[in-house]
Amino acid sequence: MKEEKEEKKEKIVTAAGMIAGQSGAVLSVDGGHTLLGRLEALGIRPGKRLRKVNSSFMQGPAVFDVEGCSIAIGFGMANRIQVKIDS
Amino acid sequence: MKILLVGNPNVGKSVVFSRLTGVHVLSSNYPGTTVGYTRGFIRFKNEQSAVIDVPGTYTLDPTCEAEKVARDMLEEGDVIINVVDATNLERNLYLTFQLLERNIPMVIALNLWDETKHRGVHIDLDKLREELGVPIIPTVAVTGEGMKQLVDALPQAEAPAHTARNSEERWKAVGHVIDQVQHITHRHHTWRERISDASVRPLSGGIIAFAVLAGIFLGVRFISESIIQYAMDPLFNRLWAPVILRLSDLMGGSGLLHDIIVGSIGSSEINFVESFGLLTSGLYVPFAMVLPYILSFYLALGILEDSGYLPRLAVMVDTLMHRFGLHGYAIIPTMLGFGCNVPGIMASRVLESERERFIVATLISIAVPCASLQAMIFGLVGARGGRYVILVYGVLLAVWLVLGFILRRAVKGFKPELLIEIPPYRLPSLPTVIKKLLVRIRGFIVEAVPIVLGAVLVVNILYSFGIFNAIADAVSPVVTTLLGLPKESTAALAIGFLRKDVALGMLAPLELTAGQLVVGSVVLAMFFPCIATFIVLLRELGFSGLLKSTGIMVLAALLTGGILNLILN
Repeated sequence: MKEEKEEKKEKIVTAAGMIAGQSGAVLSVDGGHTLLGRLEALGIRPGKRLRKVNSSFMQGPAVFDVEGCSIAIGFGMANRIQVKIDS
Repeated sequence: MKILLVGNPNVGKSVVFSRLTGVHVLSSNYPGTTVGYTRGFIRFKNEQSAVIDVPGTYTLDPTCEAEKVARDMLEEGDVIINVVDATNLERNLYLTFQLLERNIPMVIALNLWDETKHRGVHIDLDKLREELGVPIIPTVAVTGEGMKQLVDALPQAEAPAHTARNSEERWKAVGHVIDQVQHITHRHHTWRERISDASVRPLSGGIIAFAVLAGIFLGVRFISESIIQYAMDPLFNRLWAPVILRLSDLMGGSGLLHDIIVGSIGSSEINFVESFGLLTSGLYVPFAMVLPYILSFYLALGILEDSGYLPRLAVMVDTLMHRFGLHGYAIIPTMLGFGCNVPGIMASRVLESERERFIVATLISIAVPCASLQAMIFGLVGARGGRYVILVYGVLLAVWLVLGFILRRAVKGFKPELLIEIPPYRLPSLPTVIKKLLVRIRGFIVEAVPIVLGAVLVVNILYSFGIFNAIADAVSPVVTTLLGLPKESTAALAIGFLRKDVALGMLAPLELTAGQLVVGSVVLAMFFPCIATFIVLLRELGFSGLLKSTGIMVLAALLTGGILNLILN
């Protein structure tokens, strides 16, 4: 329990691992030039704030609110986005 | 002089285009409505200037076919109208900066300006103008607000000297501008956003998807059948039938010309489906059987498109579509295919890989019956009982699923993932929905009705010269043994290449059992595309893709028809 509390202070997960309703800031995207470019074009780049809208089921896509704009991201891509969850 | 409308997907370029040129193009509330080339004209500097509606793109480094089209079109532009979504300024400005680096004179239409107010977005227009160095006109394209100012601003289009940047520098520049001009105030969740969230959550989203699709199906059927029952049938039976009977009398009641024009009719009663004359079946099939379905389907689709629901449906079906090697966005071309396969297959351009486009186009042309064919299925198969209609749809759905699984394994290539922007829900505006409906109905009347009449004419001529009998004899083993259909239905399968609705109509006089009619409908739906679909497949997939796709079609149709025949007959 104690460990969990400490973790909460600075919790880093992938966007795919976020729980519905959680918010956080994008830390980095692990991917090639193409993926980075495509995500960037939709406004997802380091520093941007995300809120997860739905929880994906069966590794389906998840929907994120990015500064008032809804973006659906496939599971594999979301797995490559590192997010620092708000404490 | 060429004026290009350029901007992110779903910012309203097509609406601005329609407003500027008076040319009605289809617009919807989802990214990727425009995938091809549309142009119209306006008077500008006392000369006729072409306005081109460029497919939406987030960046000039293209990631899909439609975006490539957009980039290539830029080469020929003299003036750019950059349509920008005012509620999403930061992301839109990235493309704006890329455009400015091209040094083509530009004007910015800051569209969806009305929505900024209830979204709590405040933009300092003067500062934005100063920062970018080009004229900026706030617009609300759906109501026409700002359109006149936009045209007036065209002569002041400017190409300020922006140096080329890399993407990091560009985002920095965008960030700088945003800090200077935009200020966002906090606001509460609106009901639209609540529904928006609910429609992508697994449970509530599934319920909503089911309700929407069931609602469309039942609604379309109810409206169509009402139109047929209360308007079209009385019109033909009470007003048109006496005219035809009189005409038949005048023409002596028989002969080749009589049969072509009036068809084979009784002396006091006309069976408009079976008589097969130009003025009987030739008009009854397209106007009384098919048009009501075209009208109600496109009314429903238009409302659905403008509401913004389709991208949410894409999210919901993504998991299923992945089993086919596709992603959820493939549901949009598929939905369009239920109206007509041609726009459905064209819409597959929004998908990223050639592999996906091949799978979607093939699945649409095999297992998605167009509205014309569906109308005939409801009319003819439905007359034998609703369960047979359900059987036809069930078989086609099963084919779609099984073939999807097979194609995913068989077709090699890149397997992309879903990455789309989901537009806010918007209440569809009635004038826009009606305008769009009229464009599509006009398309049906201008393009489909002449082919229907041509097909009826061809059928009559081929019959009278005994050509169908020769064809029927040649392929009768396949048709009679494998499919269990009478020899005469070969003619219908052949005419399916021209129009599938006419072809199904040709099965009507053959006195088939319900089971045979089900086999006939399924085989017609799957077997060989109609000529319009054939041409669009050739254009979108290339010659070898078309051959492969058609081969799969013929094989799948014969196999499914054969199995159905074994079970039903």
